[in-house]
Amino acid sequence: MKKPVSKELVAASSRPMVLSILTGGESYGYQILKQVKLLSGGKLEWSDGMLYPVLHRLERDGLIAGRWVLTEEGRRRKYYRLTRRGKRQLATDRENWRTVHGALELSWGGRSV
Amino acid sequence: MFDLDAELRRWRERQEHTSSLSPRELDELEDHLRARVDLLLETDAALAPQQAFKTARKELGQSAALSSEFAKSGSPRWRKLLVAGWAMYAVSFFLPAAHNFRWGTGSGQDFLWGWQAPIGALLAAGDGAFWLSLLRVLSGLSNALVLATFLKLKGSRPPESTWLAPSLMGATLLNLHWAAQQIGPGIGYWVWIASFACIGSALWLRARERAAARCPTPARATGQGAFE
Repeated sequence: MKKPVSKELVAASSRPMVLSILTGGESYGYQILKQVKLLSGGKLEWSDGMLYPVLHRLERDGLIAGRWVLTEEGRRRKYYRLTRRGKRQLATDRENWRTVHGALELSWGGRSV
Repeated sequence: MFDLDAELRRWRERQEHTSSLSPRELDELEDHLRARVDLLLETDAALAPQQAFKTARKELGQSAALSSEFAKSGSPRWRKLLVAGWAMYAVSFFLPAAHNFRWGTGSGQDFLWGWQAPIGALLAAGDGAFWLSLLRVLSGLSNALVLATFLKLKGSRPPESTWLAPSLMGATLLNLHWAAQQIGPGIGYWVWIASFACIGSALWLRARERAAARCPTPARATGQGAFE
């Protein structure tokens, strides 16, 4: 069985991951978690308790904005959306991750696989 | 018969006692637990609701770990301001509060320490005009406001009272006025006044933050994309 992606890498990619998911529209904690699992084919293991502090930090930094709504079942649920600042941050993150990814790909491509 | 609502209530009560999570943070985690339990039951029809709740709770993590994760996401500005205010208040008692003060004959001391100032203000209450006496008493008693913020503190939770912030701001102004009345207020006096302003601002910021986080008018949501 393959080893799961390291905690450090999961933590480092958490910001662009959440911001990217929110480009698809407003979403809430649990839905974001499900999306992460889906996008990574279950390879990125986000602990449930880790997501909310990440969301709150992004909200505090003004990258996402939260609002409370009452669901049809009468539950309070906090929805998050991407802010303009968040979009700018995502553009920078995307650039950086592509640089890392591109450099690694090139270095691997040069060898016989 | 398993009652999810009752279990969640118990879970919340436990979290309130053992963690420093705010009611809003707990609301969000409770919503998460409900969603997780729903999905677990949907995907495995044979699973007992009790077991589903146990799994969801376990996945979410222990209260201590959760609190520390939330703490990592940064303490709000008001908390730092509140702590700074309290620290200044405590320090002010060990600094000279007023110069050119006479303790009566036989005492070589010609200034007031911070801790002596409230006593001095109350002892001198009878001197001078009525309004001056009233100001002195009020100034001395304004210490009670800071003590009230201490007493109302439960765990790491700051006080809920809405009257404290305006009262502390009022006390700041009163004591500033009083500073202008007396001759030679010491460094301790200024630090003391600043602590009132800090604590008052912290409570005001916190109230604003709470108001912003409050559940809005019941907008109905059906899921992702429902608000666009």
